[in-house]
Amino acid sequence: MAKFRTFLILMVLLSLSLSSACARSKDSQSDGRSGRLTVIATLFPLYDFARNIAGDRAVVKLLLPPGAEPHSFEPKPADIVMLNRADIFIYTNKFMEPWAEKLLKGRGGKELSVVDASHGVRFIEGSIDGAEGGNQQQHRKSVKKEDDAEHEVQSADPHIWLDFSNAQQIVDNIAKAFIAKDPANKDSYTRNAGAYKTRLEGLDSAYQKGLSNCRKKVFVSGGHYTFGYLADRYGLRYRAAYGFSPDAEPTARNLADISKMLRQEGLNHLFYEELLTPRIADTLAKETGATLLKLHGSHNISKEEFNANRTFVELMERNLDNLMTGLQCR
Amino acid sequence: MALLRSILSVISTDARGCLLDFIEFLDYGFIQRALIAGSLISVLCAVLGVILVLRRLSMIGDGLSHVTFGAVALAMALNFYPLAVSLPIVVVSSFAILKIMEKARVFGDAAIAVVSSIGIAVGILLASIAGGFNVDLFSYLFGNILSISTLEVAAAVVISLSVLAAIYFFFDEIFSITFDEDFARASGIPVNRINAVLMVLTAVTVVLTMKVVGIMLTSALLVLPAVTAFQNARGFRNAIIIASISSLLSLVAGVFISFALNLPAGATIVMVNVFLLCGSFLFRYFFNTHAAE
Amino acid sequence: MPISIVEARDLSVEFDRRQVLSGVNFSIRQGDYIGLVGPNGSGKSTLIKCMLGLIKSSQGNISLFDAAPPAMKYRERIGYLPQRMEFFNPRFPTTVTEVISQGMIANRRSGNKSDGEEIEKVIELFDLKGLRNRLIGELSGGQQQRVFIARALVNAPDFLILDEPTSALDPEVRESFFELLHELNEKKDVTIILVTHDIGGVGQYASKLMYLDKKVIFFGGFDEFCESENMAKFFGTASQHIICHKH
Repeated sequence: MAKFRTFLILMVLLSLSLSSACARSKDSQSDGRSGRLTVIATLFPLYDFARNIAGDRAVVKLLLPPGAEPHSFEPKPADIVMLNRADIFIYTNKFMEPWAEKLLKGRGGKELSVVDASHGVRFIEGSIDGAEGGNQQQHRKSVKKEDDAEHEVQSADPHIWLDFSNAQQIVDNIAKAFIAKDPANKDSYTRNAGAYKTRLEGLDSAYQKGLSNCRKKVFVSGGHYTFGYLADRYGLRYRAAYGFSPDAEPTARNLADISKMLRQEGLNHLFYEELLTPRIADTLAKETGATLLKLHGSHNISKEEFNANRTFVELMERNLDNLMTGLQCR
Repeated sequence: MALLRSILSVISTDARGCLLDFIEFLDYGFIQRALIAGSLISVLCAVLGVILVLRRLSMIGDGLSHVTFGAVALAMALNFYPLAVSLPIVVVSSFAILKIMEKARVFGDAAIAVVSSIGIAVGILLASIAGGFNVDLFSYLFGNILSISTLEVAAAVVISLSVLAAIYFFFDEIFSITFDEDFARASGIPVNRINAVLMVLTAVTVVLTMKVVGIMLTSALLVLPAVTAFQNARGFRNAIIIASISSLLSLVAGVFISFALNLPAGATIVMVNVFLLCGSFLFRYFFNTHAAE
Repeated sequence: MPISIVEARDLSVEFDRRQVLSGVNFSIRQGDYIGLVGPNGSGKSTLIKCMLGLIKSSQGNISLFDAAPPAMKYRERIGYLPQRMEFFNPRFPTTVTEVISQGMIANRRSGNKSDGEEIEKVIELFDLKGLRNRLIGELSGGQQQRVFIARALVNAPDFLILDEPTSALDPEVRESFFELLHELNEKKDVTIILVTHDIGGVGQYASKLMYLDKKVIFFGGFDEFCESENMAKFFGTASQHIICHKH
């Protein structure tokens, strides 16, 4: 009899704890009551652009939790709830967030203004996986998205924000959505957008100048293929150990080829990426004796960086320093 | 060096190219580390695998790998070094499997499945709470034999040799227990203790192996060499030797072929294992039919 | 007074709420040659396993060489032939020699290192020379049985426990096997427990009879059995005559 009683008590406790878990998850909804626009951005750069445009007239949230790897991100039910309460949703492009279309179809709730940040942006087409090796340069073709109406881009490099002219286009796209949803604050948004674009232009010219006089014209990453757009814009060659997305491990041949390349090009520096443990970069560095330098792709930032309020421009400025070191620029 | 050159000049250019490829291949530090650690681990898995398959615990590699997945997720959530967290958790899980077999009235396969599903579910929950998967977890799934550090090679060497030594030391007892547990007990062998030790050794081996071929393929490395051996083995010792050679060959050839054909290392190693298994089976089919089934 | 090998006091064993043995009492002395008989499910194999420490008793106790099993005293003195069907996996890749050498483990553990001679002796004895390197799964039932008997005897034990040892043997082999047992018992004072279903034939071999049906119904010499009125009542005179007639 005693055993049965214990069993009953355990079952009751179990069901109580389960129901309390349900109750708790309903709590996190006390936002958006201020009457301001609620904006959700998927990746950090979009988030940073949007919050600069918003100023204090709108609330901007980052969908990706700090520290999470974006290429394998899958939205949770709580995320969908958050989306239902938002006014504007900004995503990068369908290659970066393949789950976005499904997510948008699945939601109910009020009129959501969806911003495809890549509208009007010049894509670099093609696909790269880790095994591609040296063929990374050949597959690339630039396609402006609106020009070729029949030309459906099958696959492209999703990291469009790392070309600062694209970034300015993104800012425009975001600002347009803000103004459409909240015409009352049109002036504020326009002013902020303009100011931010100027900063981006400043960044661009800093890069132009900094990378104009370099001994080396190629940089190599032990992470995934992030900086295609950046390399393209400043006339540099770029090689990465992984493809567009850091899933499959690079093959032995790939590692051998990159090691050879580092030696042949006389490169003393190898770049590693943000958030992920740089195991492959370490291996390559050990093989070739290269020094490791960080190149932050700004897909997402770590918890510490988030708490320290890092901005996109800051991250890019630090990148420029490291690039100039690696490329031996004057 | 001059001798090498003169030898090379005699061989055709094709073969020379292949040979040079091979020499160049051996020159890379990451290849050397892969071969050293991988060789020992593959032999270890072969030996242990023979024992496990005969005890109907073939799926334990798979099951404990899934537990490792959960343990690694936990380690990452807590920001600890994964190996330090997964090892104890996996050892505990292997005992849990024994306990479930004992108390929950099921055989090894069900017990393994229970523990396995808990491991995967915990892993997914933790990964989700921690903010989504990140690639490091991914590489634990698929292995990263090419990015083993020198420290990890040292650990692999020490652990592999220790486990192999333990098995060598208790070889007769393990054989007796595996063949006939009752008789072993009657002979005065401390069966429960040795079973417990075997579980610990298995746990350690699985955690080590996940480094080489990842969680998805650990089971293969444990089971395939054993099955290959059983096709033609002429005895228990014989089976262990054949399994070890088969596994070692598969590893070395696998790494080399993955390099030559630009394929992922882990999966290639497993495919070479499969190839040897087919070969062994065909050998028996054509040459050993005099042996009664 | 011959040395006591096994002492059982009030031994009871319960499995899953089922009483398998209840209140078993006996004392086995060195030199005893006991035929252990009883109906199916009577607990014969369970008793054997308790004796060897393979199963724990629920109540009471049993001692082997004066130590409570599973204490492992003097295991090198024991030879055990388990009941055939229980354990055997014919696909297990192992040779006849390897199986037989399992019988030497107790001796190896107690310091005695030499193996080869003993194994050779017993291979000869049971006519296994040509099969030495064959896989156990390739042998016929009778050959396999001989291998397991060889395993039980290889360490020259002075206490033999045989659970249905002759079920698969040919008649001639069976005859010579029982002659061997007889010799071991007579000349070397080997204690033997022979579990068998052959209640009719057991009298030919053993000197004592233990009839078990969850508890000891009878334990004593054959003459005693044949003269007992109680046993006549229990078995019915016809059965008693069958057993005793053979004796």
